[in-house]
Amino acid sequence: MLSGYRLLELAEEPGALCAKVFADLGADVLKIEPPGGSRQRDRAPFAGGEAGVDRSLHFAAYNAGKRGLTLDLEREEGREIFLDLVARADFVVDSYAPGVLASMGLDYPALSRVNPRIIHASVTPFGQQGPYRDFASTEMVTSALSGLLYMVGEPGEPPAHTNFPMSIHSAASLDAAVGMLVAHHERERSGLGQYVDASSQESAKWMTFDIALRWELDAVILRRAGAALEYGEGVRRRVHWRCADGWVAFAVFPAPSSHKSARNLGEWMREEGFETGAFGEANWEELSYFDMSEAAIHGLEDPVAKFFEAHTMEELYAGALDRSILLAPAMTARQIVESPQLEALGFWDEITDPERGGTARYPRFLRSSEVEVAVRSRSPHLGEHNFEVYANELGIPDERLRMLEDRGVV
Amino acid sequence: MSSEPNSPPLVGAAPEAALDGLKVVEFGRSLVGPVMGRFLALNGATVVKVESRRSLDVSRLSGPHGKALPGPDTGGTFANLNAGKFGVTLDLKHEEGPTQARKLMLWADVVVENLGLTTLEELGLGYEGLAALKPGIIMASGTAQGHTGPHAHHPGWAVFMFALCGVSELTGDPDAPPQYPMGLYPDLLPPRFGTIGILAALDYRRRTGRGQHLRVSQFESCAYVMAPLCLDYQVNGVVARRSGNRSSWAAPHGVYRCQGEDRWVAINVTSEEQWRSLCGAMERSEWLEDARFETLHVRKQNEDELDQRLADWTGSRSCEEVMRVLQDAGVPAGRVSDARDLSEDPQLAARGHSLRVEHPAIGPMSVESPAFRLSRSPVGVARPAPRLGEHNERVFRDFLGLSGPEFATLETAGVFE
Repeated sequence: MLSGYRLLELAEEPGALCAKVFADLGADVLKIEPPGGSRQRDRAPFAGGEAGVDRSLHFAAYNAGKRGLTLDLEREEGREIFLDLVARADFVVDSYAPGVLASMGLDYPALSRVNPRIIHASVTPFGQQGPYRDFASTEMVTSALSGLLYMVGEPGEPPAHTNFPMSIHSAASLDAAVGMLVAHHERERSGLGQYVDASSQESAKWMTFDIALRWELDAVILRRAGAALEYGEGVRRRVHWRCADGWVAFAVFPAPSSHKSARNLGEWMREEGFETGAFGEANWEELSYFDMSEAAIHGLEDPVAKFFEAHTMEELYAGALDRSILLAPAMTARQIVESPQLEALGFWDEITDPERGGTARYPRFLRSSEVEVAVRSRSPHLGEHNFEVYANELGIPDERLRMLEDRGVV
Repeated sequence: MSSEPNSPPLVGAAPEAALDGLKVVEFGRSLVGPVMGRFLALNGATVVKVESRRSLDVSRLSGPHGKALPGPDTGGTFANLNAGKFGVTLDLKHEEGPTQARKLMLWADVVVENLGLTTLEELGLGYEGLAALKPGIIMASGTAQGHTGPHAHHPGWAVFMFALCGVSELTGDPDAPPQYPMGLYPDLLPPRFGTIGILAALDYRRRTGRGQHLRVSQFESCAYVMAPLCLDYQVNGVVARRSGNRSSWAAPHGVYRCQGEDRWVAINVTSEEQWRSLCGAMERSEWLEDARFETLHVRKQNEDELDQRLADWTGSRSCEEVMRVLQDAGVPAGRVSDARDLSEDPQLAARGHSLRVEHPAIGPMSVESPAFRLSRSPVGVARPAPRLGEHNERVFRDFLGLSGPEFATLETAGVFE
């Protein structure tokens, strides 16, 4: 969809997914790494468990489909080459700390002088301005300051982190991509680029908009409730339940489809000869969600807990699909990779990467009736496309390129 | 942007907003569809949301209602997710309903919907039919688990999707049950992917004249960002599990209690330099001489002791003070903010995170800006979220050009219910 456009990526983790999305959409993405390589190459997991410049699976996942260059922007010659690339590019995304690119003479105003059409996005934890702009941060610290962390974990215990890669940065990376494409739409009218300033804190904080609303309109501070979901002061619904080989998510909410789901589960329990107790007798439409005693809640939950503990995740999900029960297994990466649903959707592209265990499946984010939005190639080796780009596309003579290599610029 | 010959002057959008002139019709329910519409509306597109009195957007029925009386026009969730849009009611079950809906869809550049797998097709309003009449039409559809496949019919509430997508399993302490996660990833990642698709498709249309049907789903969007873990399983046979607040490559790395009720600070020391800075900032330089804390390796071995020492220090200080002292020394540290903290957060305030809008029932309220700022193009809330059917006349008469008598006839016949 975006073939013909070129994006230059000067990004570590926070911006890498942003550029990946452009690559999947067909843009020519040049990932520009310092001569020593991106820090993402040091991120676990590694193929075979051993670190190495081409071993990181984290790097592979978020950089597949890109071309790779090395360039030392700390040197004048490196900066000149970069500006040459900017003159031939449509988008730039970076994740430097605020002020660093400016100190190298490569901030948006400088890029814009070389190419007034350039759209330049920066993805940082807190954005380019404001009292936290220079804060040192990590995913957990940004999560803390955006309100996500407070909401997860057992009451009274320390808040608990959600530990998947890019848990905070994924949203910011995608917001930056939205911002760049909004700016691109405007550029088609005005002929001018602009700067896109994305903040991970803001992206993550918007993920809890419901909590902000409760505070703003009801003056209620919602709190974490462990494996349950809190509605208001002391009003909780258990969500995660132990089953024979793992965990499933199930809850009853005040909604017709949820009431039907609860009745269907009760029926299934009865068919298998399980006690349904108060759960089986509940008149869900009339049940008050806001003033139930602990004992009443146990009366509802205990029969369900017994039923779930006697079944595997797979049995429960199969039954839920058959019987329209709102239940899902707490899946792991293995179950995602082996999901028959994702298989049926054509979710995966097979990509071969000899350094990283051969052929593996990479995911897609969008399906289109017109264009394939897909992963086109494995992630680049360090400097893999230097010659292709510097010699063939920028026309740097062999001799000069060799000199730049010797001096460690490329 | 191409304009239809009879297109009316666009109303409401700031004149220089980036998506000024873009026309969108949204058949959105709950989050995935409406949030796509929201991104476009806040950036200046004219977004018309279509509901009917027989089939409301379900978020109209949820609160919070604050001081307003509960009702479909007073809920905060709907007001937030649909700020900046026009709203019409159209009874798609009425024999004339689909005809008027089709007119509206053909007026638009983009149709956004998440009504279900086949709802629009059954009404004769599917993508193929529209594309035959207007080849440039772009439709973006959101579903729980995709349009096809053995699980496509299973509903996609975030509560369950967190589990399905692997987020739950990765949340919390390894020895405890998976904790209920926060951050509505299953609801808020797909509309981001969808909006990216819509904007890319608009560019594709500009260059080729061709539209397309885009499809996003909750399951695929979340599974997409799990790619490194999926590779770890495929290549190494390793199944990632939740690992609590600790990290294999950093120590100390945790959440520590501070002064006050349920007050905490996250501290992550990710380098030896930060370790020295931490000890300096805490005035505990003797720890630097302690063999148990000399390297990351030994700090990991003595992590319980280390965490206890940090907790002793943070416990007698406010989380704001800890954050300030450690950040001044360059150590990643952040207050664990609750909803009230966020409403007063100086960084969010400095960035103008909350756009304000006056809602007729709720009063002045916040609508969060998209998390990016464009240097030239403003974002803004052109109008509060629509009351049910608020813009029927405006849209069908001014935008679509129905005459007064035509509109009145349809209204009397119950088409706009």
